[in-house]
Amino acid sequence: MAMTSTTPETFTADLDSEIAAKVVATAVAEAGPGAAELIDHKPSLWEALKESWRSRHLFGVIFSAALAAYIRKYRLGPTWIILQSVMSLIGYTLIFGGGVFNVRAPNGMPYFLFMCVGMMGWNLFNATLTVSARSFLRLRSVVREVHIPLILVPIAGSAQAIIRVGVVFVIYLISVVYYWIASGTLYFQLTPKYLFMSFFGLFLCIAMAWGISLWTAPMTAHTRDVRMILRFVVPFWFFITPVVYPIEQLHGKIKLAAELNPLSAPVEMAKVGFLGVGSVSPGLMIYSVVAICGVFASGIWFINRFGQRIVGLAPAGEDDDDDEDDMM
Amino acid sequence: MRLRRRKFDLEADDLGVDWERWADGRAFRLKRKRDFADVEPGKARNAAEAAAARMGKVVLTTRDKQLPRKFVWIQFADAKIKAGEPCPKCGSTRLLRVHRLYARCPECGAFLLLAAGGNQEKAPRAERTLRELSHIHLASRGQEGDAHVYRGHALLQDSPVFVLAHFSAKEEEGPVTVEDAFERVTNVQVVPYEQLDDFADTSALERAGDWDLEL
Repeated sequence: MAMTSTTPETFTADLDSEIAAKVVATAVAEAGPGAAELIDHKPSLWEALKESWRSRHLFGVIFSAALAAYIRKYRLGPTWIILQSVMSLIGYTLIFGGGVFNVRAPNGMPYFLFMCVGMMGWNLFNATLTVSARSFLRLRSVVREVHIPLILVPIAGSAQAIIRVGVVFVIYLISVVYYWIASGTLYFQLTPKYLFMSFFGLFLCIAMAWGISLWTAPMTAHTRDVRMILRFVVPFWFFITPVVYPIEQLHGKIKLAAELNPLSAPVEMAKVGFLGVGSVSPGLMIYSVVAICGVFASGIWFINRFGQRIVGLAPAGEDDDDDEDDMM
Repeated sequence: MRLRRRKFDLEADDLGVDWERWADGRAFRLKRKRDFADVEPGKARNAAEAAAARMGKVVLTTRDKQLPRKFVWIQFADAKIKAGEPCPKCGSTRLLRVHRLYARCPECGAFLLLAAGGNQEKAPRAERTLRELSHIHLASRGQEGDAHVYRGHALLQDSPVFVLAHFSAKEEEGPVTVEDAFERVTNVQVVPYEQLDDFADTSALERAGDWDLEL
């Protein structure tokens, strides 16, 4: 039997590159001397933001597409988002607030409420990081064909995370009402100052995730190794973020690590704002805001500078929305 | 206030859609029944091209992979140029590539569609490979996961080849047709007959007459 080293895959790959090279060479030859120079555009931060604003109509499109991609995959559709949120809250409450670690929430408040608020901040960060990292994979075919400001893709692609946190927020409100009726104590601060503080804290959590996603999303389109790295880093990050325990209960180096974590202050701000518990100093708040702004700005710089090239180099193919690490 | 349903003209080559509001160079995702008539998105794409020609522009259209029968992506550009060509509006020889398929002229601001690789370059690899073939005869081998599997024969630069092709088989897409085969192809493997000569009767493949898809 005749053997050959040419497989169908390499055969077609060679064919493609030959065709592309031939067509480009012919076009350049036809243009002759004095051909136009094509320079990769690297917009400034301001230009990139202006362009994104001009295409803001795509935010809702990408947001709904990202959500629909997730929902359409499962027979139970949006029910999974609710179930995931409920089950993770119950699981964490049983593990950390129950018999295993027996963490106590401050001021004798129900641990479940303490956990809910902490998880809102953490989920905004973690779920955004996870789903935004594959936003270019999900929209690969569109991004390769039409010119969409790249900043919009990971940001609007975090739809699933935002909805998931919305679900946790509703569960928190229902629980607040329950405890209000059952114990007569309202675990919710209804003053504009504290509400602003809470939502600003939550916004910082998602802004941090967006900043990192602006780096990881285009890289993930090129190589999936980035997702593997995230899988290892995020669990460590979880334990130095005061989600399941009050930051006051930490001591020594662990406390220092938690305070240096830019996510600690935003999570604590949400707790102080909603529940009236937790501690966050102005110094730590400023540190977090500066650090998160820095990460976000660096993300915009990176995606502006290298995004088009990385996404353009990514192999063409079917849009991919596997969520193997959804439960991370 | 109840919004009046927009009327479209199915007889017109542009389907009676006001395409100009989407012709500013930004990308748009158009929705069937809302932005264009209740017709196959392929017709809307043809209509966009007709409208672009009327406006003296070009348009790149692409199907939405998630809901291909509901949405169409479009992006108008001022002109289409080949690699090395200057800006057709102002003659500038310095162009900024903003996307692998688009450039902007820094002098006059024209938004240009790059045709360096032509339609074949911008298409996914499987589609490009399939388009390179001629006299394609494919018979269905059923469905495997999310793909319709077809096999058969074709000509590649006048040489006979064996073809194994996978087409997207999402629920909303229906069976593969001549019209959407190139858009739905996800994988194509081509093996020249000469590589199979020693262990397969390749001529038998050509004699088989019951083909499901002829392109």
